Amino acid sequence: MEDTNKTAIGTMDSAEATQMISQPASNATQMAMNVDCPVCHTPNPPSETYCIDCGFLLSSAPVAVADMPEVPSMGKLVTPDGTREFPLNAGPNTVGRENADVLLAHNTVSRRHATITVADGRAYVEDAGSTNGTIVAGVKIAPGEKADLTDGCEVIFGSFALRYEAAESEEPRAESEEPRVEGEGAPSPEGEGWGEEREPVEIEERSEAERTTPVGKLVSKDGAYSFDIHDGTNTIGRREADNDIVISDPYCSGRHADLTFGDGKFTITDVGSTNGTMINGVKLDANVPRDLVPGDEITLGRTVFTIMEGKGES
Amino acid sequence: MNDRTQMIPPDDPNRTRIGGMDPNATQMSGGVFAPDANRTQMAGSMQALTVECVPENAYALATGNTRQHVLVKITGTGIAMGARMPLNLCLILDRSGSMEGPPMDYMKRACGYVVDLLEPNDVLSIVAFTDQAEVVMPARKVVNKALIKQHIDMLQVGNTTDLYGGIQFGSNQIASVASAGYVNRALLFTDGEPTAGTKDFQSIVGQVAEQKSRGITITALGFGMEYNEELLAAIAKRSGGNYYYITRPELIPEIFRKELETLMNVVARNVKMRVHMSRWVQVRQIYNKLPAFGHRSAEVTLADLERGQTMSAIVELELGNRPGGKYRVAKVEVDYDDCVTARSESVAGDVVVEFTTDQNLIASGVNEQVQREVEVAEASRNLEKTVMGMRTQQVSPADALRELQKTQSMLISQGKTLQAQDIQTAIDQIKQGGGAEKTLMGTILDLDRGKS
Repeated sequence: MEDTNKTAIGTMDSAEATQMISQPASNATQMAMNVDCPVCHTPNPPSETYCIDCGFLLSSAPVAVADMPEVPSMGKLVTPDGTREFPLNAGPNTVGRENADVLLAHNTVSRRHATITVADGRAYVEDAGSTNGTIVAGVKIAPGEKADLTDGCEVIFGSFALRYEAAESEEPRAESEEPRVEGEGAPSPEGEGWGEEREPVEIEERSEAERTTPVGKLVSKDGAYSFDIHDGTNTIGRREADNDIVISDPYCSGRHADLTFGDGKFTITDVGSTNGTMINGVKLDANVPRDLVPGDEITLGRTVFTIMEGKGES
Repeated sequence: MNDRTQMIPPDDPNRTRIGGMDPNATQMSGGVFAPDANRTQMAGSMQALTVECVPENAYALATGNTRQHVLVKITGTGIAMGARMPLNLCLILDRSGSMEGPPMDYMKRACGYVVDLLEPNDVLSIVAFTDQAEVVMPARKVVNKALIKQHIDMLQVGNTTDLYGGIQFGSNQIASVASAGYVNRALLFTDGEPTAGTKDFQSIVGQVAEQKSRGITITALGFGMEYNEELLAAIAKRSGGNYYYITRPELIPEIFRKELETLMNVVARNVKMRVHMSRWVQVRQIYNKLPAFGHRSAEVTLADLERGQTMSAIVELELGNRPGGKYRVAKVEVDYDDCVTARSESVAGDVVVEFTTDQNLIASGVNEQVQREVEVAEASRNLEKTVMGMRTQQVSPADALRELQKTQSMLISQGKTLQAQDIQTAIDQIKQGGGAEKTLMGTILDLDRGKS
């Protein structure tokens, strides 16, 4: 097939032959200046092997998959700064810190935190009994409640905030489609390619914890510490990654105790700490919950705490 | 693709060509990172690191969202590329009251060995801490070994443990020497909890992170039963150094020697891996790491690499539907400081996956090696859970043993003999009624780093 031109040249007069040759030559010059990606149409410098935007191998041709059933987008969750996306699939999508569909490696997110179900053209969230709860559009969802997600609404798992973008805002990907727009403005090689690097954004650790209304505060007698207590179980210990309340006292164990609020009362459980938990000077047995009354002095490691109820209510 | 490779002239001083797996991709990064032609020429013959990216499957479904693991193998060259860079070493030594007797004697002997192993080009400083930290010997070249040993011999036991002060003073000694041309390292040796000065976990680890950003790596050596393994493992993890648990005083010199040998073989420092995602690709997680996410990128800091050593990282990607064909779904870029040439270098590798609707191709494309590595990475999480359960007494010794044996046999079947041996040590410790946390902390750190 590569011989057609050659054969033609041999049988044509010289003028036609010249035309034939000049055609591919001018194309080649264009190629050297710019290569439009056949998939996403991003212009690529000629040195690129793979499209700088979608990664397509530029020397190949895309294979149409139009004969396959169209996969409708099920919407997605996006971080507020737009750097991360979590696509949703039809049916239930688990949300959690481990082995979840929407995988959120954050210490305020429970291992199994919630489920987002996409079905019948709607999407709704159910909390799976998470420690720090789920908030949809500013309202904490109750156990068993199915909270509908609307396009653009905010969902907060623990203190990890995301924005829901419904399926309509996601453009389908097909060969003929224009490049999908992310953020504002169409992608350009400068702005969206490999060359330019935005500063990596670190996820805030606990700064958004205040979004859930605390039911009280755990305050050290020396005034050095003051922690919000949230509804449900608050884990206490020295290790940052495993605790809601982190006490940096070397006499406090990595995982020291659990402080729970439920049915209008506070309960504390030592989870097998090395140096123990004391209530009014009496050491607790490990793994036995103890109800607290106002004014109780709680000693964790070497630090003495009391509970102040209802702070942050107004 | 092959044609393009050939088009690069053979004398092209393109340093990245050898290091990267894909000549074209690395050519690009060369343009970004190597504006200095002299530099590339000098390092041109051989790079200290190579990167290889292996997807779990060479094929992916074009018509739906799919997930895939990618094994990133970063290898330090096995070839000695010239004289090792001199060390800028600080010994940060605990001389608290509990060090009295054999521990102190063996620690001094260990320090003597270190002095013997160093060469006149190396720089050494010594800091000791008890109620406060003090500089025993400021940073100086190791010329008069007898004099340095005299300093060490004069160390005496004190009372409490100002670990924070020790780290601070030691780091300052290292920083007092211009860092270019040296491999920096502090060896922190302690037998107890911090009991003086700044004591809290966050502040200490925070300081370690700060020192790391100044290019100072700390190796943590814990001795005996009383030190805080969580703190020492966190120090090693944050700063990219090593962690050792020394059970008996007579083992102190051997462990110091081992660490020094490791140090003399470091080929790459300040190693950073950045995954650039193409369109319709998300990084779900990088196993056992907490990546910093940026615009279409995820970045993690890795530990120093030794000669001939391979470090693997597992990246899980979410791939969106698209027209069929071959795509580079991600580019993995590794920046590091070369310890032989003392230059900042960069290597890159491509993750290329073909999208298709042919289920037979997808079934044929599975790479079992990657799946096995994922299992190993998950073992570290299971070990962490076991350690946590043992501490909180929610896991009985019998259950812990069962879990450890399960993990051990998996590690053996994957050829991770060293880690399997560590677990055997932990199993023996539990059987003797002791705690195994100090041993397992090291195993977890090893597995997290994917070193082999």
